[in-house]
Amino acid sequence: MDFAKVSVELRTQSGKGPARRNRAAGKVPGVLYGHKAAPVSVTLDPAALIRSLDKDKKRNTVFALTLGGKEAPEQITAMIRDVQIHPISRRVVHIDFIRVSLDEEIKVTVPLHLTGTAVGVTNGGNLHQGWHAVPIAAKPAAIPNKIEIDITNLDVGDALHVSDLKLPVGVRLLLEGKEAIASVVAPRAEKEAEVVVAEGAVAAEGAAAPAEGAAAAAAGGDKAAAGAAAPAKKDDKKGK
Amino acid sequence: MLAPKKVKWRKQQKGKMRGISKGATSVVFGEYGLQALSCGFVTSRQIEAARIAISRHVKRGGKLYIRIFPDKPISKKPAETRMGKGKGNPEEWVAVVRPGRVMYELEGVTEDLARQAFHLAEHKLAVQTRFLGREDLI
Repeated sequence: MDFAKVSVELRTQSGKGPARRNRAAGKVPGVLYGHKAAPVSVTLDPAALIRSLDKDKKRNTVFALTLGGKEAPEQITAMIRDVQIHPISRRVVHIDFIRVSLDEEIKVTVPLHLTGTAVGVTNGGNLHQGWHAVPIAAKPAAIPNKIEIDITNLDVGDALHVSDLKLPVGVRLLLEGKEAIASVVAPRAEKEAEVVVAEGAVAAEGAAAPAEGAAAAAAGGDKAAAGAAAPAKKDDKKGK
Repeated sequence: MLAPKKVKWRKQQKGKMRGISKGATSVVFGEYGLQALSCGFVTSRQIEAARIAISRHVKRGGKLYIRIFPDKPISKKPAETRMGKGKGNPEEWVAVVRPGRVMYELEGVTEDLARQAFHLAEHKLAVQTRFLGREDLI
């Protein structure tokens, strides 16, 4: 099995100050844990990591991490467990690696691809995909790039379930068989949608504070318009 | 329009909008999302206007998810009223949106159609936005 090679450096300092200095220097802090070994804080170059990712497996790439300096490098087989991404810059902020053994199963999520065009969609239905990625357990070498399922025969009102998935050998699904993966539902007419909104608006007026407040404000506004001068004089007297 | 069914307190203080969104920063339910890049109050009218713009553009196809809810009452004093005499009456409901929040998600449509629909929707909202897809890079 081929591994993606990435070198990581040991990180001795922790906390947001050193982490920010690392990021400013173009590195990303990370942590390596698993297999009952003590967790190790590391830093790495995120660009090198993304370059080394398997184009098909992406997040499920198995890495051969080179830990430590040039003097005593240590080779560790690991996978990405979690990636923190900044909400706005979309840059990698932190990476979790988990040590893996090639002989043991590991839990990962694999993208689920729907192939073909459903009959129900051509008949005017809407395709709803319940699961975009499914959790599986497999040995690192047996992890598939993706799981495909044909939806051509799916008509309006039909659904495909987890039990319909055909998995490769050595892959165990971690979902219950009755979970729906994809379904084709009849579209809601625009008029129907408008009715639903109108009902919601009526309910809100009956219950919610701003609706009451708006009515009160409108009434208050009328009063103010009717006798604007008199309340103003009263206010002045009170002010004095 | 969206509004809470009932509230414990009718009026709230204005509050501050510091920092970035605490959650809902990635596309989860659909395939494409509209993400806020600035902070602001998005009123229930704006949420509804954007929803109508999106649903009319995609016509019958696709499914829309709205991931913000206007749960903050905004009060306003009547016109030509002197200061004082207590806080004004609640006038509208707003959602407090911070940068990074994914406000709308679409599924079951092509990327082009989703981009066009969100482009129409962003003109209805009081915050800067950008188009976001599901992340499968890493």
